[in-house]
Amino acid sequence: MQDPLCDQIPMRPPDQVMKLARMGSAHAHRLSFMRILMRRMQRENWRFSVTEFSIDHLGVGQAVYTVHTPDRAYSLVAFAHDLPDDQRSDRVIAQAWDCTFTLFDGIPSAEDRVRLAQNVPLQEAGRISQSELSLSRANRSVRLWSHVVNALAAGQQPDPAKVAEVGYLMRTTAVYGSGKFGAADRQDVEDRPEFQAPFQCEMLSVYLTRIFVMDLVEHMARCKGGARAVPLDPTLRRSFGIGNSTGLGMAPFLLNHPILLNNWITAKEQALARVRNLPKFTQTDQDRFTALVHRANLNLQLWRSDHPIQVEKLAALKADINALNTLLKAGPVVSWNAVYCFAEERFSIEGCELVVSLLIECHPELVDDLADTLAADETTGSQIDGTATVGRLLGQIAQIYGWAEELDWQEESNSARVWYVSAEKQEPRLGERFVEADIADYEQPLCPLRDVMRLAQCLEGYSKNTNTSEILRSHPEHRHALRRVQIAARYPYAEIRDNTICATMLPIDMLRLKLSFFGAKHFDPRSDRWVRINMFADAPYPDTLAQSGDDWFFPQQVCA
Amino acid sequence: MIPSLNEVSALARKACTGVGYSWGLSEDASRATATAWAYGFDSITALAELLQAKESGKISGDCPLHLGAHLCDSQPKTPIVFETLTSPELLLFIAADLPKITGKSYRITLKSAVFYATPKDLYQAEDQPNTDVFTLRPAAPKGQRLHPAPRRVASEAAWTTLTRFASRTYAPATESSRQSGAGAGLTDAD
Repeated sequence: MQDPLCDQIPMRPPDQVMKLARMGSAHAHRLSFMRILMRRMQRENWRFSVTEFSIDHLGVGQAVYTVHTPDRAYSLVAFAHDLPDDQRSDRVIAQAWDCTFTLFDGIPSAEDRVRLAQNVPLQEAGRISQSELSLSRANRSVRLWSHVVNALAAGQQPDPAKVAEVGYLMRTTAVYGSGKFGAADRQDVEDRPEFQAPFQCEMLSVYLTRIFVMDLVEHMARCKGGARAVPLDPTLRRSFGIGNSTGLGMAPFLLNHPILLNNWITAKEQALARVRNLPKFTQTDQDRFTALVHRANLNLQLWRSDHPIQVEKLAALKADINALNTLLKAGPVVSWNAVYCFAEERFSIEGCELVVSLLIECHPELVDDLADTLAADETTGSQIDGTATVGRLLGQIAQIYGWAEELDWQEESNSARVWYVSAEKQEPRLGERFVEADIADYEQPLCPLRDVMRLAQCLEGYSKNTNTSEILRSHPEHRHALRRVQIAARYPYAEIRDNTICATMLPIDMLRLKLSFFGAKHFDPRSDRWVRINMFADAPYPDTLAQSGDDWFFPQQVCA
Repeated sequence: MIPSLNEVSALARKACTGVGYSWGLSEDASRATATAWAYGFDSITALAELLQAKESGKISGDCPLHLGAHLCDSQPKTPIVFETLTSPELLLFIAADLPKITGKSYRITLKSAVFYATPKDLYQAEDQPNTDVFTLRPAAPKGQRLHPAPRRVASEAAWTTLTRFASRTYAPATESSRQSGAGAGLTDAD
């Protein structure tokens, strides 16, 4: 559908946007899910209360944090444990955690609490119900937890440099929702306005977790230091986020939800196009944008990574921000689009995508309504049109996958990887097709490009007027690929325009795209298939929610 | 076991793949099983029976997954009749995709029950009983609109059967897979 606000400059094409290198350089933006949640909490004046906090001096016990929306209540039920250091693992295959949580739909009764206490600490090995909206866990940052507890217990503030080095006191290692392990299905809550946008239950759970963790660390300091203990300085306290450690599970999500992916990318690209189409760029605009670039630079100072790929990207990003500052100081900029074009022509992809987020950030009045377009009804839209002819299908394949026509599938590097699920806690993994014996027998359908090329080869043997229904009858093995082509033809940003099983593919690119839509910052890859992030850092707590607005994502100052 | 729809859908897809259905047919079967379960039909048992029959070689031309997929793909304009079928309930819910594709409404009979499927809804009517196992023809909807049923207990035997078939899609746990497959080798106690 044509957007009247984008009449001159079109949205960026899928062949540019849906490349893994660009997806893996995405930054959070105003349409990210935690930003949407924060705006709603503020707009509707959600009220927060601590219903229970029964935690002993070892950090063991339970707590309940309740949030009241205009129509409903939701409660984070937290279980704190005393976990030996050697059991602390971010992997799905972990068996124990420092804290476990569920987001309860309402206020739990005593009976609910007993049931939850028997199940939530077990995570995947337990069972939750339709009354629960999420299931999650978090581990302490060993680097920071003791330092903060000890400092506060001694009546001192923790070292801001150490705080900045890590950025969070606990990191979540999984936040399950949407029917997982018995939880409420998305269909159960999607009619509620507060959960219409994607992943709002999960984001609410993480926001409440952050509040709980900050209360917990101050509680532990009081237990240790008694009357000498002090609370965290409010500015420093606000800089803490909740960490998250994410593995391969997120990558299949993007491939398994093409219509949802399309809606996310469409909203973001539409937002960018609306800003680029603005005819005027005044001195006020330039001053506002310059201030935002300064804050993005502060954010960059807090972004740490030891991974060679990210180290290189951060160096390029620093140079790009310097170049942007030089441009803005040199004199009046012609238009918002001129800023974008400058970045696209001269910056690294990482830098260009930061500029995209900054441009979107400057125009809430133009883009915030697009939050309503992010969700997708995936029950319709994925049906196959068997009356489409072979000629039509081949035309669609050429248009969407044409960039890959020259790929040689006999070359092992082009199909080196196998996505599979391990019997061990059903952990998603990535194998080497030509190294690991029999691993291809367990391959998941997460290689649409190869499968569409196989379909295309099959189609070449038929007349262009043949209905695809005839082909599917004799070749059901191509059914998923044909569906994929038709979805991608209807939804332009549904398909990743890259080879998801080649030897050089970086799963972290897919993880980062999804995490950027969550609203994460400080992406820190730990390997090519593992990334840590920070969520809700610098976000206002309930006591300052009303006056903070939605202007918190880029820090105003750096404590370190 | 009181499963969520997400769990029904995920287990159905993996179980179908586990007994050898193609990825694409498994996707359709998964959606049909979850939708049927949501409307109160015991599609978990129906799917388990179908997969067991396939496993023991008792399915040939009457597979509801193949027939249903072809029915939707070919978008028939004349009435369809199938006289023998394994797990015909699954065919009902695969065929319920047809209105979403064509934008039209259909009358579908399943043994003695009569349904009307529209692009958005499913209706059940007290029409004249039918002796064929499954029939389908274009028709305007009538009867009572069906609503989602509450969550309920799934047959333990059927769930166990599907879980057993689904487990075939998981690679055996090995130490090398544990080490290399998910990016391990780093300390997490930091």
